[in-house]
Amino acid sequence: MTDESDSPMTDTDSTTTGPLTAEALTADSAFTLPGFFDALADGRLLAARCTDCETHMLPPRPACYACGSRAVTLSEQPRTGEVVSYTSVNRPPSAFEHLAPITVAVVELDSSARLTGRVAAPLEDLAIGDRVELEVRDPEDVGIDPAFDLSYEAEWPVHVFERA
Amino acid sequence: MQFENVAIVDITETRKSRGKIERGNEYHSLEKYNEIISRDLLDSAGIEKSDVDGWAMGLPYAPTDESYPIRLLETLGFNVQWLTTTRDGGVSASSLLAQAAMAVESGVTETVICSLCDLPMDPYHKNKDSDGPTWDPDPRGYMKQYLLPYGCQGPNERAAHAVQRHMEEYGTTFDQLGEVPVTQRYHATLNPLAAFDEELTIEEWYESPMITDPHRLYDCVMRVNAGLGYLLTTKERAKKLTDNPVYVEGAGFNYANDVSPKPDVTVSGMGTAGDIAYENAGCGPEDIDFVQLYDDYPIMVVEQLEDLGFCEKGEGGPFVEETDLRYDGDLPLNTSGGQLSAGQPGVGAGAIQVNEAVRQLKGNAENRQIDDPRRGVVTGLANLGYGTNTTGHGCVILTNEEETHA
Ligand SMILES: [Zn+2]
Repeated sequence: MTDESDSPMTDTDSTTTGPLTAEALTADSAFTLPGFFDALADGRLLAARCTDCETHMLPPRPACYACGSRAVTLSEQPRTGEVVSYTSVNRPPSAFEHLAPITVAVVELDSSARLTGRVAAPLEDLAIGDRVELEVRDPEDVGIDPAFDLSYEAEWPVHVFERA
Repeated sequence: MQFENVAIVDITETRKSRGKIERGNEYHSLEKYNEIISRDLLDSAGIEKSDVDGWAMGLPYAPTDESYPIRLLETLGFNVQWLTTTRDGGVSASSLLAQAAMAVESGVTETVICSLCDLPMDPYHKNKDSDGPTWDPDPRGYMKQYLLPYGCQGPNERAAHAVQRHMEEYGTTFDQLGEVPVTQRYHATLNPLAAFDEELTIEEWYESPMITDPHRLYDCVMRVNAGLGYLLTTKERAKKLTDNPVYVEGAGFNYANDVSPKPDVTVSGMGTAGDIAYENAGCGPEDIDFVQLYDDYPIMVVEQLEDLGFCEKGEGGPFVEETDLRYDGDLPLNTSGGQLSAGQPGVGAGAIQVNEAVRQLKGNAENRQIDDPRRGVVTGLANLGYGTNTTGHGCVILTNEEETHA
């Protein structure tokens, strides 16, 4: 592994000029979901930022889906943003049944990146344009039963938007 | 795409099954569904297996092996000289129709069966909440890792985001949105092949439980098992096989149209697909007698009416309220009940729309027959993302008039 492929993967706002090598895209890299969730568990919400057109991608992707550029870098995201649209999941999968109804929103962060997540507020109290702030929690804290046979990585952190 | 020398001879469609064998639902294999529809198509045209030299197959979402299309043809006893497959979600039915039409037009094949059979409701499939599925429908892990931990479940809530924005930006109301499932259910009461054919009033629609607010139960499409198919051949041959062939006048497609990070969920990519189809056919929305629009959710119907030029963007709500959408009304919509009532048969979903358009243009729609229709629009949608609109679109214009406008 060369020096160039080593460094930029875990730094934020590094000057990657890409393309990322296949060897660099390991589970440690925040350009992959395991790396993204590791960073989130450490309290850092990372997006990929295209250095050519300033598009933010959340979760990070190794190439820009707006302009096709591979000159992407990781960029730590602000925790605050506003609701673009929202719904409530009244009939969730079995593991989440006791949490229903779950309010879920598409949120545009102040960086312009968009992120989908739960909102800790009843649907009736929410409106498009409302300000919200991201919180990162352990799965147990939001009431997900770890004994349930989940089809995803159960230890990964859960993000929840609180009304700002 | 313009087509001068190709015609649809006939279509076929099986009953729908929810695949609940414990409740007495019928359960057929993929092979059986394909056997039923191919036999129907041969019988209706009065031809033999050996007269078929091409096959266009929608690949089921149900798991199959890598040589499935060939093994299936072996099982059914069809020796063909042209074979194509497709699997672009809800666009499959219209894209397969266009592919088969291109193949006949080019002369590479003469007589083609298009088959769209699928088993999204598999009673033998392991419940994903118990031991996990026997195959991985999400190999990239996007659902598992990124959406499920947030309590998200799938397209019901993805489409709900689009409804919420449409209501916010354009003042679209529940009274307006409810027109779509209620009118379509009325059509389903006239369709013996519909999965859900009990009458539905607007009051019952209002009272049905919220699934993903503002989506109610009757706004969410239900999966069914079924087989659907069409038979295409040259114009000349079609006229010998049927008294009332249907012609493909134009087709347009649009894929991966909006991958921007800030998509407008009130606009679909159907506008581009529709413009191409209209241009091929040399016509516009004013020349269309009926529409069979892909209807996984009522909002998708409303947005497509806007994007296909039947009304201005944002006016879809008032349009469906003020327009009589019944088969004997101003602009008949999804006259078989659409997928919301007829059910969504996996890869064959969009064929609910194709088949009903062909029935209407052949004059075979019985007690829901539109009065002397000449031209109809059929659409397919695919890949509804999270916080995005659909990114797969197909639009086909069908007519029973032999002379094209072009
Ligand atoms: Zn870019």
